[in-house]
Amino acid sequence: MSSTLEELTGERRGLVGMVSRISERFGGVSRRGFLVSAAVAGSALATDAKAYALRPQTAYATICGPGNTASSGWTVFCSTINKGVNSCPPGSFAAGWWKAADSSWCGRGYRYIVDCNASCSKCSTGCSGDHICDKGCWNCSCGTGSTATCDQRRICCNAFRYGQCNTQVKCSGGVHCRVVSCVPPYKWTNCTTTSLRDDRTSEHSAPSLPKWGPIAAKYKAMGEQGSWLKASTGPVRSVGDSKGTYVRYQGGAIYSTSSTGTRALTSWVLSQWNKEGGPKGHLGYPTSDKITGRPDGGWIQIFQRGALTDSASTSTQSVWGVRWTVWQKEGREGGRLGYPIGPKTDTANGWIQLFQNGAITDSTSTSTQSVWGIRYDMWARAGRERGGLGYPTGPLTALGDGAWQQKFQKGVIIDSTSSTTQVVYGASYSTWSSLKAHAGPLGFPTGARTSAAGGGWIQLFQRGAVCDSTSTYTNAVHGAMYTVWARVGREGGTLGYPTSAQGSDGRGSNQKFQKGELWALGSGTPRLVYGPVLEQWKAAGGAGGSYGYPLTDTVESGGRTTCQFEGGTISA
Amino acid sequence: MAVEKYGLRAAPPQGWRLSIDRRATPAGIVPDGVAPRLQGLAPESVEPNGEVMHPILHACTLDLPAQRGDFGSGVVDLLGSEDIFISLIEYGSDVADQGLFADQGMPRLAPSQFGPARLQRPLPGRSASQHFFSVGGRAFCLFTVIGSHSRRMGTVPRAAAVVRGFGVTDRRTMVRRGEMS
Repeated sequence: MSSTLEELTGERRGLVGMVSRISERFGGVSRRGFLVSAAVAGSALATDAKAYALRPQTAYATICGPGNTASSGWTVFCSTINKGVNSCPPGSFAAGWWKAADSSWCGRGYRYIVDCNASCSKCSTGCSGDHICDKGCWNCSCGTGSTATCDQRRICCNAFRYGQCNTQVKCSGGVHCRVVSCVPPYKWTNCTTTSLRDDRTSEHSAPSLPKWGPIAAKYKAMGEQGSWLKASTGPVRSVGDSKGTYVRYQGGAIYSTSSTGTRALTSWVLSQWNKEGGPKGHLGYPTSDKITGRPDGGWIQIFQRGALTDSASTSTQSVWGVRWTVWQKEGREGGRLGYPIGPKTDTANGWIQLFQNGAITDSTSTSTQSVWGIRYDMWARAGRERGGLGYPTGPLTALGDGAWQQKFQKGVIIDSTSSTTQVVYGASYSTWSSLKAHAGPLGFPTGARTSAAGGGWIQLFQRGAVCDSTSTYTNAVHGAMYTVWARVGREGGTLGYPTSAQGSDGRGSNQKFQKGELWALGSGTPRLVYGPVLEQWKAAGGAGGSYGYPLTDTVESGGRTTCQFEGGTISA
Repeated sequence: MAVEKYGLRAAPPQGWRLSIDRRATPAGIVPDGVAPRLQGLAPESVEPNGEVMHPILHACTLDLPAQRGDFGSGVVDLLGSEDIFISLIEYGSDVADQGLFADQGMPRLAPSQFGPARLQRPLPGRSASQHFFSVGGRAFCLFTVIGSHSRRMGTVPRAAAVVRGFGVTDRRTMVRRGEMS
C-alpha cells in the first residue's frame, strides 16, 4: 500500500506537517520508501540546500546527481554496491579515470572518477583482437542499484575502458562501478597522469559518499585514498550530540566539531578511543591529529580532556582528567614521567596511574601528585601507597642549597648535597619532624631505617639517630649526646636504646637510656653514668642532689665503677 | 579539408566537423627539451599538479558542442541514426607499445566490432567500438559511436573511411622537429 505521510497521520502542522510536505515532493511513497526519502531529503538539504530549494528537482537528483537511474546508462558508484566502501570491489581493478570540473563534492574543484573494470576471471575468450573479454568471463554480472538508494545506475554492464590505469592488464571485463576522489588517482593508485575530462559527471554521486565539508577538505589535504585513511566506508554521519560529525574510512576516521577542529584518527587509535567512550567518553573529541616522532619512537593524539599515547617500549594508554593536567605540567611523554605504562587503577581510598619513570596518584585525603625519578623508585620500594609512606601530599620541593624533599602522608623522601636520597617514615618521621626535621638538630637522613639489636631499628641522620626497640619508645639522640652514645656502642653498647628524649634542667642537659644516662653540664661534654654508680647517684638525688653533675664518665676498674661528680666521687 | 596539429592529421569528408585540441591551461608547461618556438605545437602539456594533457581528435557529423567529454559525453546523446562521432585520444609515449597499447597501427573499423554496450554511457540505439593501440611510439584510443546499432552496416564503413584518413607523426619525427622531448 502506498500513502503519503499526511494520509498516515492526518496532520499537516508543525514538524510532521513539514515532513509531510517534503514527502509529497517524492510523490506517493510507501512507509519504508518515505523513511528512505526523508533520509535522502535531509542529506540533500545538507549537501546542496540552495540547489534543492530553488531548482525543480527531487532530493534524489540532488544527492545522486543527474542520470541516477539505470536507463541513464551511467555506471553505479562502488560505495553503493561495496558496503559503503569507496574502492574497487574484489574482482575488479582501477582501469581508467577522468575528471569533472566545479564539483560541489570537491569544494567546487575537480572531482576525479575512476572506473573499476571487472577482471576476466572466468575465462579470456574475446580478448583476441579486443581489450574487453566476453561478458561470460567477467567477474560480475549486469544489474542495477537497489531501489533503497537513489544511485540506481548500472552495475557491471558497460563494456568500456578509460585506459589510463593498470595498462599492463591488456584485457578486462566491463565497468563494475565507479570510485571518486578529490585527489588525482595517479597519486594513490596505479594510473598514469594522462588527463581526460567529462564535466557532465561533476555532480554524479551517491548517498554513501561523504559530502564536501571540513571532513572532506581534511581528507583531501591528507591525500584521500593515498593516505593511511584509505577509502571512505560511508557518508558523513552525526555523532548525535548536536556537535560532532564523522566519516569512517578503511584506515580510521575523521571527526569534526566547530570547537575542536577536524582531526584524523587511525583505526588503532579509533578502537582505543572507542574503548574510552569515544566522543561522549572522558577523553572527548580529538583536538589534534596523531603526533608522531615523539621520544622512543612514540606518538600521542590529544583530545579535549586527555590523550592517547604509545611508544616502542610501552603499550597504548590513555591519560585523562586531572592526570592529563599533571602529566602536561611534568612535560608529557618527553618529560620526567615518560610514557604511561598502565591505565588509571583504583587503589585503597584512591587511584594511581603508572608511567615509565613514576606515577600520578591521589586519594580521598590527599591531592593529586606526581612522583617520579628516584623518589618513585624509593616510594615503590617502600610499598608505594600501601607502604610506610602512604600517598604523596605535595610535589617535589626545593629546600635550598641543592636539597629537596617530597612529602607523603606518613613520611618524606629527601636529599641534600651532603647526603644521599633517603626515606623517613612512620615513627622515625614523627620524631624527626618534631625536631624541625632537616632544619633541626638531626639534619638530613644519611641512611635508611635498618634493623638493630634487640628487635629494634635505627635510622641515622647527619647529627644523630632515631631509634626504637621492643621495650622502648621511639627517641632521637643527637648532637653531643649522639657522639658519646655512638662512642660507647650506640643501641648495642653500654647504654642500649634511649628511653627518653633529650631533656634539660636549667644547668645542663641529659638523656636516659636503657642501661644508663648521659648528663652534660652547660654546653660541656655529656658524661656517662651507669651501673651501681648511677643507682647510688640517683639515691643521693642525682644532679639536683649533693653530688651535682658528673664531671667524668663512669669507668670500670678492678671490678669497681667510679665516677667523679661536682660534689664528690662515687665508687661502687 | 585536411587538418594537422600536434602530429595528428585528419581529412574528413565535406560536412564533418573536426577538432584537434589539447586541454592545456595557462599554467601548463611543455616538457623540457621542446623547442621554445614550438611549444604551442607540443602534443604534451604538463599541469602544475602533474597531469599531462595530450591531444584529442574529435570528428563528428554533427556540430561539436564546446562543452563535451573527451569520450563524447554531450555529443553522442545528440546523434541521429546516421550520425557518427569519432574520438582519437592520445595516452602518451610512456605506455606505448605494451600491455593495453601493444597493438600496432590505426585500427580498421568493422561493423562486427560495434555493440550497444561499448559506450561509457550506453544510450538507446547507439553503438560503439573502442580500440587501444600504438602508432610510431605514441599510444592511442580510437572510440567510435554511431547513432544506430541497427544501421551499423551502413554507418561503420563511413566511419572507417574517415579513420583511414587519420595520420600520426611518429614520435621520433616529433622529437627531431623539436615538438616532443
